[in-house]
Amino acid sequence: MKVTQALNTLPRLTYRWLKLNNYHLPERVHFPIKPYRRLYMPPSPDRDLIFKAMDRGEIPEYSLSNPDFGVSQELVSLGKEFFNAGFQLEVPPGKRICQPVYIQYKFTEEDNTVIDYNLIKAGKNSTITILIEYWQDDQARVYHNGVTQVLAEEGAEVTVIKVQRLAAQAVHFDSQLVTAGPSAAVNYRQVELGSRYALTNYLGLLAEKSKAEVDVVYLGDGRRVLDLSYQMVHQGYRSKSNILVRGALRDLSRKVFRGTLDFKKGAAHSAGREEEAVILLDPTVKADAIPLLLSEEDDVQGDHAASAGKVHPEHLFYLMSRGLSEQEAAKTIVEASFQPILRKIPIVREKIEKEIERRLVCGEGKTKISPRSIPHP
Amino acid sequence: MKGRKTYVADIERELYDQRNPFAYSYKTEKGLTPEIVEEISAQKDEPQWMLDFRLKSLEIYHQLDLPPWGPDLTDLDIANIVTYVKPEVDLKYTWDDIPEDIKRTFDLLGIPKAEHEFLAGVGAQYDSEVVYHSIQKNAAKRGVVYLDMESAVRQYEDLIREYFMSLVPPHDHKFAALHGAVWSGGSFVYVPAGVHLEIPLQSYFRLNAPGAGQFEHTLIIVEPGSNLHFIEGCSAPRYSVNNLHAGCVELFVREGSTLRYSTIENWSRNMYNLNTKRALVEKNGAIEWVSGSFGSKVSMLYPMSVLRGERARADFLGITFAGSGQTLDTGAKVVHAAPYTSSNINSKSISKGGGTAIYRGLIKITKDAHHAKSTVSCESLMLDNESVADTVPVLEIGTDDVDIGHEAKIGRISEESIFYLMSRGIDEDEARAMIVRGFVEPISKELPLEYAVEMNNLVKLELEGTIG
Repeated sequence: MKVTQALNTLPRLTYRWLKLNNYHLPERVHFPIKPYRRLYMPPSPDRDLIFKAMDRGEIPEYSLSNPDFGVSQELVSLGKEFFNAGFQLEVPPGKRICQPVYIQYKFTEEDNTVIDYNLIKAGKNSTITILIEYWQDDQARVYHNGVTQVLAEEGAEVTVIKVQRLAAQAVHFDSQLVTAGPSAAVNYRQVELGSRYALTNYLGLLAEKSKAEVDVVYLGDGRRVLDLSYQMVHQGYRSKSNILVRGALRDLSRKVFRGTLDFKKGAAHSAGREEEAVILLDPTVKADAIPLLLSEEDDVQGDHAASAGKVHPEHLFYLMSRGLSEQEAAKTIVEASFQPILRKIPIVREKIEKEIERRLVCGEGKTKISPRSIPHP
Repeated sequence: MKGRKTYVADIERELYDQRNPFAYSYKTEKGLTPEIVEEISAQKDEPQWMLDFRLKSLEIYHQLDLPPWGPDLTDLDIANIVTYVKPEVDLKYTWDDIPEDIKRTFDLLGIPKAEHEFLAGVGAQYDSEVVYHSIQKNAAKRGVVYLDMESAVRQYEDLIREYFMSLVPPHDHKFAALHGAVWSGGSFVYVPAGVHLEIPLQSYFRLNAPGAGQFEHTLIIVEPGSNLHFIEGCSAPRYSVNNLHAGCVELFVREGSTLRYSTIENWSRNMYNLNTKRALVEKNGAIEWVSGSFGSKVSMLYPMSVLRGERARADFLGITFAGSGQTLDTGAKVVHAAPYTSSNINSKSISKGGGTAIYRGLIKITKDAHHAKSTVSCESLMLDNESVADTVPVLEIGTDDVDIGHEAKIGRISEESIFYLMSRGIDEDEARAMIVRGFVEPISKELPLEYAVEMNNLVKLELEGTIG
């Protein structure tokens, strides 16, 4: 399938000449539609759970009627209609599963396409943690288009962790729809380390007293493009959202962060926060941020903070005075900024940290010390 | 205390709503055709190049579409707007020569009094033409030029030809093209090198005719090492038909000079205010925008600063007050195109009674602008849940060695602050009033005195204990 539509379109458009209202792939991408045989699903952690590979014949009704969401409508329909992998997980009311359920999508030269459709439903007052990893250990060009729907019923607590470690030529699209029922809590954690094009989209619908959290770490190097979109729609009163994004960019990488807090009428006493901090490691990077704050309700608290800049020279100097090289010092500072989020990642955390370290020290292009880092008189 | 809401009174509009009988010596037909554009040009006895420019702009206007973003403009029917209305008076240089009804309008707005007291020069535009222009001898002696745009086209033809719509070209957007085709009136200011004009110049734009458009052009050139404060005021009485304001402001701030551009825009609630303002700032120069948007039905106004020289600086202080039936989409755009440039944006909005206040902005750091610094702060105060407050900022960063901070907040008056003030012995009404005054204070204190008073009237608080 040819990817034709504009991707990650903003919920509110702005000046056209910036060309940031959405993302258009700079090259023609034909998304192959073919089978995939390598889904690794662990045994079900509890026999009361429904946990099975997604079956085209038995798609549950709750997944059908949905608002528009995702990287593009086209890609969401591709995921829902032509999926070649995916799982369905249902936790019955009151059930608490402590052990994370770890699902892996491994890509290889042969199995280079994953179109996964995942449904997660947590019954009343249940608890579940799911870790989904997309990875490969070769350099083949691979294609990923995922659609994940999370439905947390009243009082449920769901944690979804997604880790993407695809190689430098990969095309990666990922669309999430999170519906947090009354008093439910949904945590979404995302680690974006790979792919040539990484486009992800998150839409959270928050009912009264619900809570949605998003924690993101990304690393861009080489010529990677990251376009990450998050939208929190506060529909019910006393709902809470928090988006925390930490990233680092080097070489010729570019990133667009799109974060929207949307307080609908009726969302009184709600609070939303978004914070994005990016560390820029080379003069050749490009970092854009579009943080929208929309409100129809006066009794809300919406906060947004974004910052971007180099590694602080004083911090660098301090670490270098302790014997670290400039690169090691920069690496240490980036890692420190990622820590609050990485700390919350189970099982694969060490793998991620190693990967980050490798990429920051060796990388795909060597970080040059530009003459400009010499302080201006 | 629960359930009580602060009621902020609407701005007192009585003064602005004094309308004069619609009298004119010449007006064009409604709508937009090459013939109308030719007529306007003929009325002004313009050089051929300007007529050609107008006709070219008209062509561009027809090629461009309405922006797909921002407020809905479908209600605005250009075919029903009279683009040129010449009042029954020629340009005068003393107030005494101006016909009584027009003079009374400006008297009520306090313009002649302000001129007398603290301005170095005044221009007053009534509908499409400037009816009064003056400059203090002292300023004129130092080489400062302050003229209505039509006279400038004749007296400084080469200069105008070089700069006119060079910063805001007609193909920039549809309403810039419209402006290029039918512009009329406005001011030209030229400050020679090394001149510090201590007291401000002011142009006041008044649109009296119903169903008309005002398209004044302001062109300011501040030569190296100079200093100018320019004030622009706008108002109109209310009619039931839509009026359109599509002015254009082009500011050239040369090396080491500073220009402060203050605007209080108080159009009536039937006005589409689609204004374009842009400043080009050279090395060590500074542009300071102070902007108050209170009136109009729909506003789209985003003053843009292009920092082209090293260490150039842009400051923006803006307040938007959107009441019932208003959609005020305003903000600031800064392009950092040189190293060591800095910008500081401070925007505040209040929305009430079903009004929509939108902050829309841009910080763009080009790849050459290392050591650029920018701070953006947007605060939206909502006074009820009928209203809307949106923030739509874009940060575009093209290099690493930058220092960018952006903060935005939406909320209402916090009960905690009220409680705190009350615990200090201040009664609740006064506490709420203090908080709203404190909210707008950073901007009102930067305004020229007469406008500060106007704004304080605006946030005059009245309390009502029953709405909840």
